[in-house]
Amino acid sequence: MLRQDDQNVVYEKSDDGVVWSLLQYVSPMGRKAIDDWRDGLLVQRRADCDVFLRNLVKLPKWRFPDVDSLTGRKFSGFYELRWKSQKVPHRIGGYFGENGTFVMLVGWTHNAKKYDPPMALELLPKRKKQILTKEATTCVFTIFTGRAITK
Amino acid sequence: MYSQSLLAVQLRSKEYREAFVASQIRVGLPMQCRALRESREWTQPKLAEAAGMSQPRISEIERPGQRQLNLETLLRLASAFDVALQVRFVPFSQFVDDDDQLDLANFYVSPFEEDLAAVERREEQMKSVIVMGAAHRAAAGDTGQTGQSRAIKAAGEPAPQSNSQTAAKGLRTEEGNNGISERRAS
Repeated sequence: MLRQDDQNVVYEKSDDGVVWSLLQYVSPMGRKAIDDWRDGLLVQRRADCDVFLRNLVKLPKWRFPDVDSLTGRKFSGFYELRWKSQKVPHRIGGYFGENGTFVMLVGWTHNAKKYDPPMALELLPKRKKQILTKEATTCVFTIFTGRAITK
Repeated sequence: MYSQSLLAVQLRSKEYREAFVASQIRVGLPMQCRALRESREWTQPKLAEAAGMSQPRISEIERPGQRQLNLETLLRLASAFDVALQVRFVPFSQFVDDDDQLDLANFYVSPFEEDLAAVERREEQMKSVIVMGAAHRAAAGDTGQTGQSRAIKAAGEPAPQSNSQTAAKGLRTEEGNNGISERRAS
C-alpha cells in the first residue's frame, strides 16, 4: 500500500506483525542476483548488508532514508533500499510486489555518481520485464532467517 | 536450533562473525533506535530532549554506520525509552538464537510500565489456569497424575522423560545435524 499522507513513508504493509518478504531476481541461467552481489562484497560490507536487511524486514513502514523511490520516467515504480557501509553508499533496486513483498533486482554501490556495476540502473527495467514475461524468475532471499533443512 | 541456522553457517568464518557483531551495533542499533522512536510517535527533538542530547546528534545516531555509539550514549537512550540495555559477552549459539528470532516484540521493546502491566496480566492468566485446573482435578477426584501419564502407565509404557532429559536429547540430536542440504524460506 503506497502511503501519501505520512511524510517520508514510502511503503507500508497492511498486515502488522508479519515481517516483509524479500524476493530476488533469478536469471534465465539460474543465477541469483542479490546472493551473487552480496557474496562479492567485502566481509564487513556483507555483514552490514545482512544486518540492514534483517532489521528492515521487521519495520512495518519503510521510510526514507532506508528506502526511496527512483526518479525519472524510466524508473517509475522502482525503489532502492539504501544504507552506508564503510562510508560507501550501498543500494538494492527493485519494486514492490504483493503486500509485504519486495522484489530485489540489482545491487550496487555508488560514490560520487560512479556506479558499481556501471549499468546497474539500466538492469532494473530489463530484469523486471524478464520476470513479468516469465523469461526470468524470482526466489526468496533468506537473509539467513530461515532454517536449513537437514537430511 | 543453532547448528541448523543459516546465520550460524555464515558465522563459521571468524572474519564474518567479527564483522556481524560489529554490524549489529553500528547498523542494527541505529535502526532499532529509530524504530523505537517512531513507535512512540516521538520526533527527533523530543527524543533529544528526553536523552539530554541535541537533535542533530539523534539524527546521526539513527543513521546506520554513521556514528560510533558509546555506552554512555546507549544508556541515555535506554533511559529515554525507559527500556533495559543488555551489554554482555555471550556465546555465539545464544547470539544466533536471539538474532534469528524475527519476533517484533524483541525489536519494538515496551517501556517499563507497559512491560510490567503485560507481565502482571500474564501472571493473572496463569493463576486463573492453575486455579481452574485444581478445581477440575478436585471435582474428578484426581490424585495428581496427569491424564497422559495415567494413560501411559495403563498401557505399560515408560513414563515420559523430564524436561531436562528431553532438552539434553534434543541438543544431542541437533549437534548431529550439521549437514545442510537445502535452504528454506523463513
